[in-house]
Amino acid sequence: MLKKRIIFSLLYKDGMFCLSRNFRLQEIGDIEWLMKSYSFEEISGSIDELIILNVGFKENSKKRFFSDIDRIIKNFFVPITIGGNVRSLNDAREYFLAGADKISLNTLYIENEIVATEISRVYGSQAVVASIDYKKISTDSGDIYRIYENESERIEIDLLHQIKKVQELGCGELLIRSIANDGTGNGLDLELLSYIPSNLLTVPLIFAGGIGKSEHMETGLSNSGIDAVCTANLLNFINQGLVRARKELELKDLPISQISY
Amino acid sequence: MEITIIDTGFANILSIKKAVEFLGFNPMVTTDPLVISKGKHLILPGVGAFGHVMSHIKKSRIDNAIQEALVNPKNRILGICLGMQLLAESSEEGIFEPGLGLIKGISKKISDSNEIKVPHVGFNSISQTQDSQLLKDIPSDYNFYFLHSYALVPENTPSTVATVKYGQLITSVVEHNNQVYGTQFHPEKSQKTGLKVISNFLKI
Repeated sequence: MLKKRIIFSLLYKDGMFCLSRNFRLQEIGDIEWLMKSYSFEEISGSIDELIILNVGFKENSKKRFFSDIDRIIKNFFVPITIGGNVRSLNDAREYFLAGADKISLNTLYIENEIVATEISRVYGSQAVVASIDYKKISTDSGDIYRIYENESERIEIDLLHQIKKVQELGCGELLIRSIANDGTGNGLDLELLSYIPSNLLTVPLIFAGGIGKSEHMETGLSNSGIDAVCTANLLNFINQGLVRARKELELKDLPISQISY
Repeated sequence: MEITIIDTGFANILSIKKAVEFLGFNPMVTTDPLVISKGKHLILPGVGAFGHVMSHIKKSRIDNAIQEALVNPKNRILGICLGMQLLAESSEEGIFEPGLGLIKGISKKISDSNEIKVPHVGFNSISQTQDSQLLKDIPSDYNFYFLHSYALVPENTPSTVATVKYGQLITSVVEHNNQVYGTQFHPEKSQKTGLKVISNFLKI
């Protein structure tokens, strides 16, 4: 039987690993801090995948990004997704060379559909994760869900429209994240799942935003619409946090891989 | 022992290289047909769409080099994920290019349904159907990491030594004539037990 996945995500901005709250970034520490706070060799036995997102914009920080990735994934034998600032086929290629099994695309699906489609065509759909961030807006005629390309410019797109579109353009997985729940540690926005018609999702769904403890992972993993849960909470799962969470979850009757014994 | 990792231009070479190094070996990563033709343990990793990768392999004359290496019955090849599909004769994926033809069969799209989302992504337990050199000393219900939309359908079932259930039964491990080996899953992405599969291959 196919198991559901627990995914850990790192947000990287110009040399610093960050905590995000409602998509505002707080710098926590550099690679030295990260290596002191997490043993990746150990947590590779507690997570099913790792996602590393480069949310920085300085072009010259790329080299440092790659050398930091090198240190994280040494002796780390689980799948890795790298994303952030992918604008061309060559950007994607650089991430694959740096050790990515998959790359994640977000803004590219809005800015350049042709390149986004080309990446899936060359590397295969299974290598492309479409990342979508959404917010709920309550109106007189009911709730609507929008995605934002950029908070300051407020380019608003209907969430369901975008989910349909990225799948048509060849993504192999969806990473959907609630901006409102992001970094709050209050749990996932499971309400959203009843809003998405089940036949709209033809690729696996990774759900994120709000996970602060193992119980939140459990609720997500128990939901039939969710294939994987993802947390980027850099402080709540520090040191042995992920190892403990995995052990707790493996004792429950959840469809996850038993790896931490 | 000469371990040659074939750089197909699209694959994530780093993971498999790190895995082989972790096992204590010093693999060579190459695109050079001459080096490949002399390889004893060839590893063909795989990220990419079948047609694109195969046309690159042909242009670089890597296909001839692999055939040449396998003339010596002591030399072996391990295809991983797309690498296993490339061992087949052809695929339904992307632009048409014949495969390496080392295993009779074609690579077909996994059929989706309400319950089955494609790609097949994540850890799934395999079932061994025959004696296997690659799966020696691996627990029978072990979970391996899968990441694929297409799957090899061998013409001769004797090549299939393990399957995985994802809606349909999918060939997850092939072994053919003590020379051609393949895993649809990623042993280098399947925790430390996954590395045992690579170690088993290198001991053959």
